[in-house]
Amino acid sequence: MGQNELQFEDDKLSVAVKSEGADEIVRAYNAFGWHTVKRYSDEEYSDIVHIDFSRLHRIEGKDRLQLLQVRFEVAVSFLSHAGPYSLVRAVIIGALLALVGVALAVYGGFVVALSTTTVFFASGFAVISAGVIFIVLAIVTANKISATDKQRYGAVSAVLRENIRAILREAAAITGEEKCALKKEL
Amino acid sequence: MRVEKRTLKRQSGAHLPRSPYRDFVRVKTERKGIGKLKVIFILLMALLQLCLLAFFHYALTEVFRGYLIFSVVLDIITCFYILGSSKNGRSKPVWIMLVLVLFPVGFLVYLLSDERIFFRPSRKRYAAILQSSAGMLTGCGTGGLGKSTMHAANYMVNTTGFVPYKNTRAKYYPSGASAFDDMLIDCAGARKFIFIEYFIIAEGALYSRLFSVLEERAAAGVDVRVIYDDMGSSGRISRKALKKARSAGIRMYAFNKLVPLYKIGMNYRDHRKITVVDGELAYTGGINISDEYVNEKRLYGYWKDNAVRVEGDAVQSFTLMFLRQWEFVTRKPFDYAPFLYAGGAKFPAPLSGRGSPAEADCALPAEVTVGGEADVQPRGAGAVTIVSEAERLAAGIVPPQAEEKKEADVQSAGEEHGGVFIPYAAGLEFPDPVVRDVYAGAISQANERVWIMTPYFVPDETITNLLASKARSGADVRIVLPGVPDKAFVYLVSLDNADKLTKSGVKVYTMADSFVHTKSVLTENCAIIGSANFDLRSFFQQYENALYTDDKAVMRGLERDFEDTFPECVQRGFIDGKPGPLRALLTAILQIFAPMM
Repeated sequence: MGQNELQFEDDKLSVAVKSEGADEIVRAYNAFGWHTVKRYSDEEYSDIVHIDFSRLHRIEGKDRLQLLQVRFEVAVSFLSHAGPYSLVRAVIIGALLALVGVALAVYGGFVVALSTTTVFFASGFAVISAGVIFIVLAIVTANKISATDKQRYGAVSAVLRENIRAILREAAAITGEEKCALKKEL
Repeated sequence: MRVEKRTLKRQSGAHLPRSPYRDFVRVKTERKGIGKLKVIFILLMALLQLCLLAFFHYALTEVFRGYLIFSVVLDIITCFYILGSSKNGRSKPVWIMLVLVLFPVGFLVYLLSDERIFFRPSRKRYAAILQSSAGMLTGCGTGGLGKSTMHAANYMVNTTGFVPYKNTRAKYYPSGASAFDDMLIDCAGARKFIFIEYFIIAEGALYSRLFSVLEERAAAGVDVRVIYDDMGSSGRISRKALKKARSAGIRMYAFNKLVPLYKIGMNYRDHRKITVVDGELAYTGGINISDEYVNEKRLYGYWKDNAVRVEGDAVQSFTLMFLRQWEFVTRKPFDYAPFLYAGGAKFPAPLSGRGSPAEADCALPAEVTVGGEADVQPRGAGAVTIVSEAERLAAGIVPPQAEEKKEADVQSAGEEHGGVFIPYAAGLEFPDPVVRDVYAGAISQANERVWIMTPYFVPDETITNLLASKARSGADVRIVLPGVPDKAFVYLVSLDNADKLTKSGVKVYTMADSFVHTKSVLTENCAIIGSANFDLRSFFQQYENALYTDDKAVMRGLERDFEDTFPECVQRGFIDGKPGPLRALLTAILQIFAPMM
């Protein structure tokens, strides 16, 4: 601090971004008033880019910008997770049902192989059939759940994309960086 | 497909693999927890000592059968002792349960945890400090105050000795970032002393900013004293940083140092947040000195906090709070008089003194105005200068235009002076649960609205029943809680407690993507802003401080903060269904231990 002056150093922010979306992310952070200081590749992973930003410490609407930035980061992270998450429920339920089906089919196979009477032989086939039905059921159920979840996540994602656009519009209006708002959807 | 993927991988990087992370953006400061190895080690050591005690006790009962009967008798006597004690109602059944469950060592664990026995020396020292510093505050008296303010003032005078003040102005900050910027500027202008007392002081960008100012002021001969809580700041401030600050002339002391012993005193922490500059102005609120409080570090989403800057007579109480705590931690009695008005060291008329950073325009010398309007940094011993528009742009300082305008709007404007300010401290130096009683008093006096913002909502029956009864009587009772928790278990209990109140008509909100750390209450009569949460720790176990005021400007600032926060929240009950059976069971178990949270 100088003899007669108190000046604040610029704020700093470092982010790690998937390289395919780095340009959009930079534009988005520009909307929040951040300017790129340094951009460099990750030493460990090929698809990660590190970006260092800086921003004046005292800026108009800083509190609001900070809240919007958090919301932006949360929304972007959710979108990147949404695809894989939409399959998780379907895979788990499908796998459980299929496991029951396979177990029944194997058990039925044992019964058929070791049967000494016609009744046992027939019941073995019945159990195998039940197993097959379970496997089919697993595939159908998993598909249905996957479709439902994809639809659900799709709706949430659409809302989030709209939210991101609104967040960036508001941030850009505060910082006066309208031109920096996202040009294409994330 | 696999071959294609491998090809792509090779194309994008000859030897580097793709990242396993799904996060598209990862902010590097983002962390979901802070290393608390020291605290964990000390807790484990304390637990080990308790286990050893229990073991030896059991061994004793094995050797002397008669001792078992003696233990039973002692356990029963301890239960009666707990029932008859002045402990809060929620903790009594928990302790009785523990004493019975831990038979035959229950009574031993309780006695080792009884603050009246093992905190007695500290209490005695506090009593001596309070006695020697009694009567040093000269307020405006309780006559002629509004009804609810008079109730609060009378309670405060009779219980803690803190008095009401007029001749004070205040500025409300809806965030830590804006408060700390002004605080830095004020500290840079200090001429006599800077007192800082915070629960958390953590190294980082904010620490560097603040301590560079403090070091500079200390070098200039200003008396700079800092108290930090050893648990709150544990693992967050290095020895090197402490050494550097101390070598620069800053006097720093840790409150209640952590030691690896089972000691009930360890439970009582200094949760206060106070900055005093020259005895002329003070800051308090929910803020601590750590980067997350200014949103320069991401821990639990957006960090919502608040603070208030007080200038004028009321600062005396903040100075006294600090001085008492300073005497307690340093164990050296000293004369408070030079730091207080009453000591004869009369300070310049406070209301015509500094002026807050955002309202300094009125004192602008015409010759420095460039381009019509100049931005003025606050004055003080020539440490901060007036920066013209051109100089500011050249120096990279952006005018705090609309934000400061907004803040300026909520400052005590001329016609609104005259509000009463009652700064107060609470803690084990006082026999009464001051925090709880002040909150209860404010709520009971309210008939129109009770708006509460708190990170934790684990109150006792007094507060819960009052809120329910107010809501049923038609008052607008609202509670704002975080949308992102910092402590999952406490959050579950907080939501459970708040949800139960919705049946009475209380509106409960959670701020989306944010951790609400603000601790404030607003009624139609008053505003309370400070360090005290709505939980039993703040009510009964921690050293807290706050400001009670009926100043219209502060109330309007807090009101605007609430109104700006509500649209960012989700109202409980609209989208949430009933909790599942597992969550209900977990919450029920956690509720048992709520008094210890």
